[in-house]
Amino acid sequence: MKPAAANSPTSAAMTTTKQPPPEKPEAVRLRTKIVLSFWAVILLLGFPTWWQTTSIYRADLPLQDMLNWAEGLNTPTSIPLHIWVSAPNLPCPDAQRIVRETQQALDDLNEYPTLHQRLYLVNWWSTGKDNKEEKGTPSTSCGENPSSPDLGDPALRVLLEPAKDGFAFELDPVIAKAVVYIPRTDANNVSKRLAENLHELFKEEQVAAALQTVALASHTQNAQAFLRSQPYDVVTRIEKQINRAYKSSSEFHLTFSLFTAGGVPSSWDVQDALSKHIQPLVQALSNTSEFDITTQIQLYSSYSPAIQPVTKEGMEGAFLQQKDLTAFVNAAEWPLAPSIGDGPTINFILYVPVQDEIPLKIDGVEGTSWLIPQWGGIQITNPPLQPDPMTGGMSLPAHLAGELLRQPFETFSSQLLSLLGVPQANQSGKLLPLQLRLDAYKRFSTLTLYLKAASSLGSLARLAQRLSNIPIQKHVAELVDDAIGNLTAAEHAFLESRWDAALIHSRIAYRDSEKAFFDKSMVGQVYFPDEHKVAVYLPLLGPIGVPLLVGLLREIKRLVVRKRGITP
Amino acid sequence: MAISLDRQTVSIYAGAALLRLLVFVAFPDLSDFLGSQVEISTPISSFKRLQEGLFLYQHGLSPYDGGVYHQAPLLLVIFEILPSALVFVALDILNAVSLHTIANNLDIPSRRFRKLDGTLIAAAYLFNPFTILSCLGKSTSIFTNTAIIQAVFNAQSGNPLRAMFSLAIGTYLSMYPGLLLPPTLLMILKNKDQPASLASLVMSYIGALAALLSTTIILTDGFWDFLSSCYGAQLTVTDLTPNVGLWWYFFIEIFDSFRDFFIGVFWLHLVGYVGGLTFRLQSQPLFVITSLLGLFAIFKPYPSIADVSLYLGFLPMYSHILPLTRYTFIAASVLLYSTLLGPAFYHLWIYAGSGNANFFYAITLVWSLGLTILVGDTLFAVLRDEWEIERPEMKGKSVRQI
Amino acid sequence: MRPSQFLWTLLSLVTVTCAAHTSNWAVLVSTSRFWFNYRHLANTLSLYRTVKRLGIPDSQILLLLPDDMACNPRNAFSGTVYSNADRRMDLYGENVEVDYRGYEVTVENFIRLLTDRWEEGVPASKRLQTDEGSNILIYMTGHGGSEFLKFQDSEEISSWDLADAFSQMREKKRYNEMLFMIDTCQANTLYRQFYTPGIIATGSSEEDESSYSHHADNDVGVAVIDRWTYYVLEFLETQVTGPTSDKTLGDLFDSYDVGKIHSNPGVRWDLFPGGEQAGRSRRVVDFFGNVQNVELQGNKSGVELLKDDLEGLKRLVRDYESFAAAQENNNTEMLDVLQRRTEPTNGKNTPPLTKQNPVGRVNTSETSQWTRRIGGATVLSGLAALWYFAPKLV
Repeated sequence: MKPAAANSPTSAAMTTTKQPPPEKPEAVRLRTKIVLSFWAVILLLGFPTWWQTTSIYRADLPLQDMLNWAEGLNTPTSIPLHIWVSAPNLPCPDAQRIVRETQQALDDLNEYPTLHQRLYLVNWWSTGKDNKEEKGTPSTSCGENPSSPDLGDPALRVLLEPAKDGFAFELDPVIAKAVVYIPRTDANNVSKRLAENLHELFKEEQVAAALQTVALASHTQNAQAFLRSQPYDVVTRIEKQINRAYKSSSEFHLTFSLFTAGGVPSSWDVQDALSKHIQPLVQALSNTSEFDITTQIQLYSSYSPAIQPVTKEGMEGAFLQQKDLTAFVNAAEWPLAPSIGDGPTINFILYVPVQDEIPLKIDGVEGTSWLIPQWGGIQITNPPLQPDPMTGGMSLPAHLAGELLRQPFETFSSQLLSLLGVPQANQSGKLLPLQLRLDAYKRFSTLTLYLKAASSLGSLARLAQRLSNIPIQKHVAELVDDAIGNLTAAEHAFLESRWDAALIHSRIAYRDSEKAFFDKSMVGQVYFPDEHKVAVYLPLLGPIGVPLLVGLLREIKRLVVRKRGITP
Repeated sequence: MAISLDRQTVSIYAGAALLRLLVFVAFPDLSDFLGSQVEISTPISSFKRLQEGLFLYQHGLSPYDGGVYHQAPLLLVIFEILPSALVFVALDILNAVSLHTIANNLDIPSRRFRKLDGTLIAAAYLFNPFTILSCLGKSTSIFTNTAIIQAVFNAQSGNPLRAMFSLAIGTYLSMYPGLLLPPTLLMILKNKDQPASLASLVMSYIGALAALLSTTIILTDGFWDFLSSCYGAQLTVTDLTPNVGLWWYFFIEIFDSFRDFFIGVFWLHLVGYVGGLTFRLQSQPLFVITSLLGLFAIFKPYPSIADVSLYLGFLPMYSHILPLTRYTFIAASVLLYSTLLGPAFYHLWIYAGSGNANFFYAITLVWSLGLTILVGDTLFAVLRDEWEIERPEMKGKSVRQI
Repeated sequence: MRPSQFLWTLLSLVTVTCAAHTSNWAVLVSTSRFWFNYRHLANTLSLYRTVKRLGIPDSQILLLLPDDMACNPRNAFSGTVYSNADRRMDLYGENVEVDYRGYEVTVENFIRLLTDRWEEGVPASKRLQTDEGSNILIYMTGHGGSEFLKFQDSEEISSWDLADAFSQMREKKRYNEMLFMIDTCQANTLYRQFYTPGIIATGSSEEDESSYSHHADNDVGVAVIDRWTYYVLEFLETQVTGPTSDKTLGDLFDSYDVGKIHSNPGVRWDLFPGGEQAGRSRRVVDFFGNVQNVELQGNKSGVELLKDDLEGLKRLVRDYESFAAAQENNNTEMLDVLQRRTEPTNGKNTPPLTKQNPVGRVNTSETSQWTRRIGGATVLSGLAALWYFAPKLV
């Protein structure tokens, strides 16, 4: 702003004599006006601009609220698991007594409040759909109406039946239903045994939930105490199961890839194999997550060059070292992890080696498939050689027919379940009914997403508190509000044991909290020390600030002098 | 606009028009070449970008899609109907005629002042190489220039409403003419021929501006697209294509967190001059406008030589202060030097690859320095002239500034 | 007390409080461009070769190289990069996956990479998708000064930036343990501001001390490797021979020889849980190698079991389908439920109606063209009329 510097002095008296003539009053007034006009621009426009542009925008976050969520202060103290009991063929008082006593026994067995089983006498048998052909005899309408709003989603339906001989607890092989035969004689023992059975059924799920709580929440004395009361090997097994699985997500991409080391086989009956082995699973899991399936074939794709299979005397084919299996995937050349959408990609690779190496096996193991935790499954297949009509020799088939794919895809489907974290065979090597396991997976997912969302909020709050110069945009605050709203809704759903609703809300809460934490706008301000700021402002303060300040000081001095000149 | 049409005048105008038309017709490539020079067309005045906008507009799309076009939609309408070469030549002639009339009617209260010959002023404008180049390069700055000249012309000739309307057009086209409002008002109010009240003038300015902005709604769908693309681009300097100004290099280099702040500082710097100059040179509002135009040509976000041609169009009216200036030789040679070296260094940087951005930026700094010297020197000379009116006995003596 | 319970109490601290180490990631950064900084890229590529040799897959190595020395016109051995004058080992070779190259190597991208704050659509190969079980090796080399490291001559990253980025990673449980290595002048100042637990940091030189290059290759024409990196690599190549090596970080850091390195390397332990003692006992391959966690499926029992499941699944799917059909029948009821469900979130969740620009719909019909022209002409003539009548309005 040179004129300020140049004009005001020029307008002052200029003279060749030593004593400048007195300034005219108009000139003085004019100079005052000019100085003031510059200062008006500085004060009225400059300072607001400076304030507006150099302050970092930080939207108000409900920090305390977020921290409370992360610390679990808002988490429900107990998450019940509803079990519906129906006893159409028992007298109502008996049924009520059994339910009451079993509940008591359960409470004694198990003090951990998360996924604690709660029995309800519900009249689901008589009103149950399509049961007429099963010849249900709706004799007593004992218990609540299944559509009653107080009831949540049942984790298990139990049918109590009178029995001649001893107590029996029979699970349906597929769906979440159990039939319990109650002997008329030994009434006391019945409740206890029923409770034990139920407890056993959900114990591992509770362990998994407790492990996840310990890993993700901050106030976990309860969960830790519960875990300590459980046998060590069960806990480690379940922990391993959790670690193997992908992190819960609302969307998964399944990529099935056929990599062949040579030019053949160049096609496979993948649609057929998928619809037989994978689709049913995906459909059953579809209420927990969405699944996208993609398939690809790449010819002439060799495994990573670091791997050298060995040949053995007297045995045909080649052998992979077990230690090489981690490095088998040729990440540089195989088009994996195509980053479609938000969710993670689970890879399933079917590898056909070159003809010279067939059969390619793994040294010291029988199978040819392996699983890489949190990544996917790999299967080497050695298709039978066929006579080649062109050369007369033996060669690989050009097409992998459905029969050749059956075994690999069976492996893939079991790998898929374990990669997702669907509970596996329990201690005794027994599998629970599929429906129960899928439901357990759903509940585990819900809880995980819920805990993760809460913990993300806490992370964001602590971040916002610690890094004072990180900008926080308005939409981040909106996402946080959203996440908190959904967490609250999920919490209510938990209390009512409405797992579908809880899943939906936890999923949104998780998505929003992650989006908020990983918002790309929160990288802007890198560390900028104060001495650098001075360097930035110095050019302003020097050539512009000084003349303006001097002008202002002169004006003030003149005013002071004039006042003094008048007063005495 | 009464101009005596003697032979000299006619030949000047006809010669200038012929020269331009001849180049447009005979060397159409030259026009394209000039249109792509950064000294002539900036992101907000480039004719190429206008053609892009025009294409979108003619195909029923928003001209602001794609983020290339940053000019007012009114220009699209004009160029859709009229042939571009004629428009540019006609506007140059119109500007010259207006300057001619302004000069003829100008009377400066100074003893050095002699009655001006408008023909010479018009010739100086029409044959100024910067004017010719920016006309041939089809820089749309010429519309803004015309609006400013018309504002001055009407303010001087006692047509206050038209002056306000012209200024509103200028503001609508490229925003910065709005800063000329105070000196233009001063000019109108000093003109005793036609009494007008300050409030009504400001109101008519605002009304005209509102009317112009509202035409956008008729012409294109996206009013907010227009605002953000046309004015937002100038306010926030999003396009850092090199130009002869000082902003682009600075905002390439500045730390991101201070970008907004310095955009504010640069704009305030531009605004800051208006008040001071208007107060100081109350008696000569035209010179306030002239000096401001010079300053804008230096400190605007996207200046080009078209802005300098406007400044140099007005400056000859103050030829009487030439004896009082001290650095005209330096200013002239610095401008000449940078005019010649600028394109050369740009070529070295962009095409030959043997120089870097600093080469071109250094030359734009020199260019700005030359203009600053010119503006400062003439300001000093006018102040000295005023002072001599006040104290006639000091004429011709050297003075010392206290 | 049952034995299993006893065991549990013993191990509870280890297993629960620090999550298991499940994967390994490496971020290898060179921050300087231009031919005379050949050695910085060679440093980084040498580390890349080493971590690959020790088993970290390419998908978990993020390699940031600001320049391409292999294809530099001044490279007499084009297509290759060597870190030793004997030129035995071509570091560039056939199988190198550079994730960020050239001008992508910026401070902002590096911080984004660490904190994983990206815009949508950044491919997975460019992201550090770590979790609470990941051990991360970060190696940086370039030109630095007291508490800063230059990036490509135009930017710098400071110790504070790194510290804040790491704290954000910790906050979001993005690593289990981290080894931070830096080879630059005054390297030890770079980790001075760190404050997040779980990090072991080591650098090549103290404050006000330069780091030196090891030797030059006269045929390549420039220095090919830095001293500190050279001796670290020497240890890794000769002592850590495979992914199963038992050498510890203590051994590695003890191998520093000031006489050879010509500067004083530093190590920072205090952030690591358990301090120096615990840190020293960490194996080198805990950071430079990959955790061996492949699960072989030799026995087919799981598959056999699943076969029964598949039968069950088909039944389940039938159930679902009939349920879906039933749902369609009482659609209205479902709608109610859905509405109730979404109501609490609806307040804020409604996506803002974004204006859809009719991009792509090219409209050239005669009539609209004429209406537009007439509109334009009207506006122009209106303005002209305003211009003409303006003086008469007063």
